[in-house]
Amino acid sequence: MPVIGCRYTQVQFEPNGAHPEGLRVARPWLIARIAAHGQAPLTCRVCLDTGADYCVFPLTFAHLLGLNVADMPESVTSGVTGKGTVYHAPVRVVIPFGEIGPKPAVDISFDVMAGFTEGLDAQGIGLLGQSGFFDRYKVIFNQKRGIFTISTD
Amino acid sequence: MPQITTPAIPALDIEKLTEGVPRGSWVAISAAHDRVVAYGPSVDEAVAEAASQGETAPLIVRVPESAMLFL
Repeated sequence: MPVIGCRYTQVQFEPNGAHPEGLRVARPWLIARIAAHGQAPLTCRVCLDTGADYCVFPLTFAHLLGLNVADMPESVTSGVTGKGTVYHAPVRVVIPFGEIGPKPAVDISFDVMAGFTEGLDAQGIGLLGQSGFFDRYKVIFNQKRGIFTISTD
Repeated sequence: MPQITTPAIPALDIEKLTEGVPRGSWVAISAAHDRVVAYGPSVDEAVAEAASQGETAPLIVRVPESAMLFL
């Protein structure tokens, strides 16, 4: 697999009491396609989140993927905003580099037991975490250069 | 820093694409990631409207109720 460089997404926040001149943050966001049980895939935005123990998506996405929450094993997960119920299902995640990036590029594809939680519905974004993503791929963050890289080495 | 073997993947400026979309909306973006196809208060509405326009595999994002920093 080649070493794929990705640009950070720059997000500008308005001034507030803590940041009177506003704040610009760089987020390691990518586009991913997730699918379950051979159902039609869903394309969404994901964040490479080293602080997430595993891969989690908004609960709304479970419905779009044709998953029945009542049939899914659940667990309670702790986050910075408190505890939340997470429902689990095996999914295939594809990061379609070959589609969204300059050529040549290859897709990343992996199967993972993903979580789905209502706590992510407000943002509508998935998290690729340590188990399932960072244990498979080597990721180097270099925000100073505005690039993060992904490879299998 | 390792040698990057392909041109860098550009970031999608979804915030710019969704300018003007009401906060809290679910948004369907074209498969080419270059325009908003539909949006609505529920993801089902956004997806259904996108499908009615022939966009059967849109990128689904949400415009948050408020711009917040993540922890």
